[in-house]
Amino acid sequence: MTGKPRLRQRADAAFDRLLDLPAAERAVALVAMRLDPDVEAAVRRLLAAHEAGTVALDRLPDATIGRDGALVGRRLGPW
Amino acid sequence: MGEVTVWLSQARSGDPAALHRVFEALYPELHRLARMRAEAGERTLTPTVLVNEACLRLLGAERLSLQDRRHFLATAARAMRAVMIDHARRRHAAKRGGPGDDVALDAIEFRLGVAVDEELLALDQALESLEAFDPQLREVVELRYFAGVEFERIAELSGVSLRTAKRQWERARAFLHAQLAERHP
Repeated sequence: MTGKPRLRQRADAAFDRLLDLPAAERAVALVAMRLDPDVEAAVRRLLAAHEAGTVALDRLPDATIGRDGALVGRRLGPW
Repeated sequence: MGEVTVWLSQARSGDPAALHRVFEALYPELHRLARMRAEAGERTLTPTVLVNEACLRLLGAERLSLQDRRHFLATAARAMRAVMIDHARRRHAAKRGGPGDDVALDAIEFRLGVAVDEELLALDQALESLEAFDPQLREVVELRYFAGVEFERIAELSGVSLRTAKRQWERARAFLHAQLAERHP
């Protein structure tokens, strides 16, 4: 694997490790990883996305269901 | 045994076309249910309600194995995504020029948090990148976002811990959000 996919894999792996740490320790830990600059930049973008407030995906269609209480806790389908 | 159950069994035996047949059954069913509910004056359609109802209609009282459940729900989530994207495309096109060709569908207001159709269409594109990166992460997003499946159930279906399922969601969320920020800064 070369190029962008490889970069994404490495950034994702580093991001995954950083998520194990408390948020306040991640920036220092990232520098200590001594990643290639382009990988480090990609990890920073992932961290920024992770720490961003509400993004499109957080506005789940079901948030509204949750408030109504209609489907919360119910199994989907006949199983 | 209903035909959907037979297809799921064929998928389990390694027939790659079988899940496509399940999708082909689910897709019009979801459209039909959405249209029926819209025409009945319902203004608060949610994808999860539609998926749930489609599952009940296509499976009846059949009990599925864990693997079949996973296949079926993942396919239902994918079909719901296709329906929602179609809907967003039509509405987007209608806004840009003339009415859509399907008034009933245009009348449907999915009760989505996504403010604009462009956002949903961009998300769909980013999901294609996520698919290329890691199909498992794409499946988690489809199950959670388009079918409203809870993390506990996703973990059970995927055979992973709850912590892993939530971590997969976090990785997918960051990946998608970073993609969207890159394309639409």
